[in-house]
This record gives sequence, structure tokens and C-alpha cells, in this order.
Amino acid sequence: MRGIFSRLDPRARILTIVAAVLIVTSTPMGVLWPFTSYLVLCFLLILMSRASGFYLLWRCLAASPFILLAAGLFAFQAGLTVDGRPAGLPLAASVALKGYTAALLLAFLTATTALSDLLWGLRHLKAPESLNVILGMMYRYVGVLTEEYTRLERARDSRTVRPLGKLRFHVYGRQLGSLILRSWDRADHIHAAMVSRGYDGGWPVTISRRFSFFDGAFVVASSFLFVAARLSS
Amino acid sequence: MHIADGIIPTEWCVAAQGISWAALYWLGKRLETDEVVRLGMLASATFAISLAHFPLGGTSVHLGLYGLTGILAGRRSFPVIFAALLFQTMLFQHGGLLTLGLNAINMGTGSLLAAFLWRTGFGSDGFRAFLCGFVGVLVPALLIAIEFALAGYGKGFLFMAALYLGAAGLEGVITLATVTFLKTSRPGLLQLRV
Repeated sequence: MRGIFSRLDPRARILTIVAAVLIVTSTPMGVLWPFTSYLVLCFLLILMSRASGFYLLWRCLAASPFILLAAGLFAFQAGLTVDGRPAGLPLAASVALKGYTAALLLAFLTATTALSDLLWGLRHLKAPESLNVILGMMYRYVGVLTEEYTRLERARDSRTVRPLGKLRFHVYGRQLGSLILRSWDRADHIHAAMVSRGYDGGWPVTISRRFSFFDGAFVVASSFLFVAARLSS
Repeated sequence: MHIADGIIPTEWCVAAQGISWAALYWLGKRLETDEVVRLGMLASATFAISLAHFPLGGTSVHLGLYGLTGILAGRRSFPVIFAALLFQTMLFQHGGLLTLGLNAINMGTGSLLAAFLWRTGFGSDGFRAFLCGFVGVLVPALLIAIEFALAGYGKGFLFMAALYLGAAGLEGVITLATVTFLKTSRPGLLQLRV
């Protein structure tokens, strides 16, 4: 069963999360109080969507290396206080909280919105046509080409009886060239097939959705709550 | 190498979003229909390759292929990089929503510089191919280091950018091998005027 958030128009979901990330990340450095309210609001959103907590945690962990590195730099670059603690600790905490809250919101968006819906939403938010078409092609063919690259690797390994040694980078390079050639040839076939079906540069969309009053109200209300959480501190 | 949200000042991220979306419109306009399909496939291929890890000095690194994308797609490499970054953000949480523009500028600059270097025609093809792969990684690393230094993180990231010299060298060697292969089997691919 889908939650309220998952039933919103994809445009409303994207706008809600972008607005929330914008508000969270623009919180002044060293101001930590609003993050309690932000996390409560995130928790409410998660409850409304029934997103998997394990998935969200996993995605936040994926964002950890860069966030922790940045927070660590902030913590120690200001030196130590008289009692031996890193002087930049409040600023580092601010960076880490902003980073993890934004990561949680992005993870929440991807957990509740299928990639095809995100691409549909971007298209209807007037993203450039070049981006829409490239993303549409990627959506269809990334899996195919990843599989093809895996086959190339398997073929290489099954035919290599000794370690490649210094030659390995040349082998990898030729392997990449081979994949690019295959994808280029495939592109020509796909283009011919698309033109034969009437393709004229635009990406046809058959799904139509309406941005309802409720969608707009949800975006405004959630943004208002995040702003209120920030100002209340 | 992908900056997450909340780390760089929001005003910078918003400004970078504006610049990168404008660049996306400008560098992606008047695309021919066959070009669109090829760019889509190139973006898919580079994305698939960037998922693979290569052994280097007891550890493993993954390729960005910004230089190779610049060689093959020219100025259209910016929309390709932007789309690949958006995909990585959505699928793997590499980077953030607000920092997408900044990441696209960092990586796209390396790619556009490689496109320019490749088309200048100086030196041998092999030397240029290596250089394109090298700057394709090093320029984004330097840009990130400068952005972090300006944002008040000190000079720690400049040291990290220096560490990327090894990865840039590896990318240069692999780009050289790929270009040598393509030159032998499909030279026309390397002479596209885009």
C-alpha cells in the first residue's frame, strides 16, 4: 500500500524535497537547534510514505565518506581549545547534520519515486530536451551496457591464463574502446528504428497527470513547516 | 569526488545550478536526432564503465572518463556529464540535489578542456589522448580543492587533489589505450566536429 507522499504528482515530490534541502542547507553554520525539528519533519514524511528505514540508512551511509571528511576538516583546522577539544566542533557538527539531513531527504525521494517518475517529473518541470532525451536513453540502456561490459570482462578473464601485469591498462583501454564501438553501432540501429517509427527529436510521453490543488498545497505546507522549524530556533 | 549537499555554502550551490542549467541549454541546443541517440548511448556506456573498478597499488579505483567523453562528444560532453551525474545522484547517492550544478561544472570543465585540447591538434594523438585523460580527472580535483579552500575548509583538500595525480595518470594511460584502439578500428569516431 502506497503512502500519501508516493501518491503525489512526481513534480510535487521533487519540488517538496528540493525546497526542504534548500532550507536545511541554508541554515547558518553553528546553529544546531533546528535540526531536531528538521529530523521530526523528515520522520513524519517517512511515516507518510512507508519508505524502508533500512534503505534510507543504507543510502545515508553511502553519502558518509564525503560528509565525514568535510566535517573532520572543519573540526581540526581551527586547532584545539584550551581543554584539548577541536575548536571547530560546532561547525563540524553543523556540516555533518546538514549533509546527513539532505542525504536523508534525497534518499527519501528516490525511495518513494520510481526513476521513470523522476524523469517524467523533470521533463514536465521544463528541463532541457537534450537532458530529457539523454536521461531517457540512459534509463533504457544503462542495464544493457552494464551487462555487455560484464560479458567483456568475463570473456577477458576466461581467456587470460596468466596475470596481465603491466599490459593490463592497455587491455582495459581496448576493452573500453570495444564497449564504446558496440554502443555507437547500437545507437545507429536504435536511431534507424526510432526514425522508422516517426521519431523527430522529441521524446513522446503517453502518461498524463494533473498537478492538483492538493499537490500544490502539500509543497507549500511542507516548505512552510521547514521554514517554521528553521525560524523557531 | 562528488560533493554532497550541506557542505558548500548554499548560495554558491544555487549560483552553480543557474550556471550549469544555462550551460546545459546552450551546449545542448540544436541537437540532431542521430546525435541525441549517440550521446545517450555514450552516457550509458561511460556510466556502465564508471561502475567497474580497476586495481591500482593494492587498492582499486573507478574511472570517470571525463577526458574520453570530451574527445568523443566535444562540447556536447557537458550534457552527457550532467545526465550521468544526475543518474549517479539518484541511484547511488553520489553527490546531492543542490550540488548537482557544482559537480557538473567541476567534472564538465575537465571534459570541455579535454575536448578543446583534443581538437587543437598539437603534438601526437597519443600524447593528446593521455593529456585529455589526465586533465579530465585533475581539473575537477583541483576545482573541488579550490572550492573547499574558499569555503573555509583550509588547505586539506589541496593535499587530496595532489593524491589524485595517480588516478589522473591511470586515467591518462587508459584513455591513451582506448584512443589507440579506436584510431585503429574506427578512426572516424575521433574526428567528429561537435
